[in-house]
Amino acid sequence: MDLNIYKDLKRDVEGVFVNVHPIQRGGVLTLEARKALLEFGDGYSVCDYCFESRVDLVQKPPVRNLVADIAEFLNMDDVRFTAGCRHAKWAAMHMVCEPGDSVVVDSLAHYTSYLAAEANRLKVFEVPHKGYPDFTIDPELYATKFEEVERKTGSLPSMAVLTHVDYRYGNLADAAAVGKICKEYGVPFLLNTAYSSGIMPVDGKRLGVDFLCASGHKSWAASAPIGLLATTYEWSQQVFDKSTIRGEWSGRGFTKKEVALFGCAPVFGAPLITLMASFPAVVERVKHWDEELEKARYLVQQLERIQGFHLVGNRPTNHTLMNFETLPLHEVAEVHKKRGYFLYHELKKRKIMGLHPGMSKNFKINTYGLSREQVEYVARAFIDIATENNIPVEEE
Amino acid sequence: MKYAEISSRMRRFFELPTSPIAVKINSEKALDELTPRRYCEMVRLSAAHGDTFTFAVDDLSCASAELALGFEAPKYGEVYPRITPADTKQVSIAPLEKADFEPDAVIVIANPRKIMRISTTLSKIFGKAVSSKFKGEFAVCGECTAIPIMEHTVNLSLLCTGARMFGGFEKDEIAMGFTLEDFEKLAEGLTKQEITSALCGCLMDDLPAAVIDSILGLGFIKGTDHFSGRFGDEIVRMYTPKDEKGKITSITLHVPVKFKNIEAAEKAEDVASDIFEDPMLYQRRDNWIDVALPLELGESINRLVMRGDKFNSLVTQGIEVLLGHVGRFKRKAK
Repeated sequence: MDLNIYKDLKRDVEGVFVNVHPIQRGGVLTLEARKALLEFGDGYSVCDYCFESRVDLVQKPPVRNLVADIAEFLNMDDVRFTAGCRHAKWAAMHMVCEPGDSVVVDSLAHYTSYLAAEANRLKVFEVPHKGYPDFTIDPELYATKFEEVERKTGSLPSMAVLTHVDYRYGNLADAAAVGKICKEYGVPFLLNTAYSSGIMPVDGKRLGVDFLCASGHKSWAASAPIGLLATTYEWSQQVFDKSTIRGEWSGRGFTKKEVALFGCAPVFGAPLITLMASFPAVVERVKHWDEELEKARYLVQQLERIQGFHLVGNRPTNHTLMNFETLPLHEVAEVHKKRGYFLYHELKKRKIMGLHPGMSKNFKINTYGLSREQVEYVARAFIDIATENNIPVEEE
Repeated sequence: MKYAEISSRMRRFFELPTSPIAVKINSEKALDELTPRRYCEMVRLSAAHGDTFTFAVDDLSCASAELALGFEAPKYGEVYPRITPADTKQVSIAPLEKADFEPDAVIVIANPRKIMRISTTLSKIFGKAVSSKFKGEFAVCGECTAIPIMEHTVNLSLLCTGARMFGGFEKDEIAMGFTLEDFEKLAEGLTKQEITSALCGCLMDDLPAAVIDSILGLGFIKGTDHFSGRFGDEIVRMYTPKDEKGKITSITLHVPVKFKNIEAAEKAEDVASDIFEDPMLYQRRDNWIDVALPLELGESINRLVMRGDKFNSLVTQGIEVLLGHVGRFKRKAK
């Protein structure tokens, strides 16, 4: 065992590289969060003044205020921290559905939506996407699927799950339309906002959401792992139900602890304090979403000057996470000594990181939070790589 | 790959409760001081407890093992299986991860379900069924050690009465013997996606290998959600849509055509409406017009690709038709 490998750990990324990693942009810490991280990096640091046995009730630092403010920010009634968005989905399903029930999920959902259902012993029915090249989810198909589930199982699904922005194409689904259909059928509606809340405006009540799950480390400028489960008062008692267990011999009880959160969500130090410290900036930054979209669309326009580069997913893009098909890069990779890794190395030479090493047929890229100059730099880098490899590039 | 890595990869993948055992005939290690015991017992102890043994014939308490391991030649008639010529002086046994010698044979002990999984993987890697010789005698020493060494093959053993009564083998255990070379190939094969069927959540996870091979054979490459390939000057995309039951009974071929801006693409829609007649489709997407040709297969794609030529000519003709129309569209609209 070589313990030296754990010493003097360095990432050598931020400040030196332009990071376009598809899942990392919204989780980059704010300066305030970095300062707070140094102060509160210890394991249970936010629990110095825990008098009520639950992290969401701590008043110093102001966690209790943060819970209320986040609920207001999302236009939901109540919020809890979770060990990631996946835990939030699992928790909602666990407290609302019974084993053997059915859930309806969009077919572009993150794998953790499927696994949350599987861990809760639920049957999954998928709403199809429309396929190449848009891969859109049609909200009307939720109604069709609800009826199919009822026909096949004898009852409506006990939950509908929609991925607000999917991880593959960055498509923004029509959550309000799905919310409306769910209300008509009386099916509880869970919206996965891992790629939306925290970077763009999300209004839970306007979207008709019963459960809103979010990812702190993906989109709220927080250290991992932390997620959010927000709900309405219609559901909060059921979802955040307290423990009723009693020690059979000792008589011990834990009646303040919330069952689906393992009593008290395990986010006690770095995750919670960075979420808190970034929160004012998050509230501000969602107001500038249109600027982020403008930069993303600029990148699309520039990259599509390269022959064979083509944005897959909704056009114009409604998100900063994008998926490009790039067959000419694959053709270069076929004869390049570094094979599929050539693109990764070419970008690394230009101090750009975040594309999946080995990918050349297509790639995902995220421009969220990059300056206009950085986006222009990334666009120029791709155009240079194309030119150097004899891939035709259109004049501007 | 080092022995420790091979051992851990095999144990983790096949959920083996005990270590694979490395066996070396005529090793150069110093003999251990042992009280006589059975070969199969030493193998079982080594697998379960991590013990190592280097022993000579005087340390064995089983006449069958003396013959099978080649310490002695049979005095009367022939014995099968056994190591020949019978010039074995000593044998070393160790859990594979601790072996400091190059094994002649490797033995795996597991329940039938796990051996079944190993067999399935073996047959995928070697491209043939696993054939075995066993008779419930000379099991660990003969069927799992002598046969792999002498016949250079994998062999399954249902064990023998001695192994179960005196060797410490459980009722639900059986064993399999390998040459080192076969065992290494098996361990290496576990990283291959086509062998282990790892699914990554890609949109074409469930396309059978025969379908993928047929499409690749036409000049396409496979992405995570569609195929694409260069035909002449154009890049053609092939998508495999699913019907409401999840079956693929059609394909769509696409060529997106780019225009300078949205206004130019809007104008081109008029030209598109003249050129692209049913069943061809077009859709403006921002400053692009995506031209698509759906092709009904008349049956599932899995069945159609088995008819080779029919599928190939359908797609090839489809590409020709699509590119012909796209060419005309570009000339008129641009």
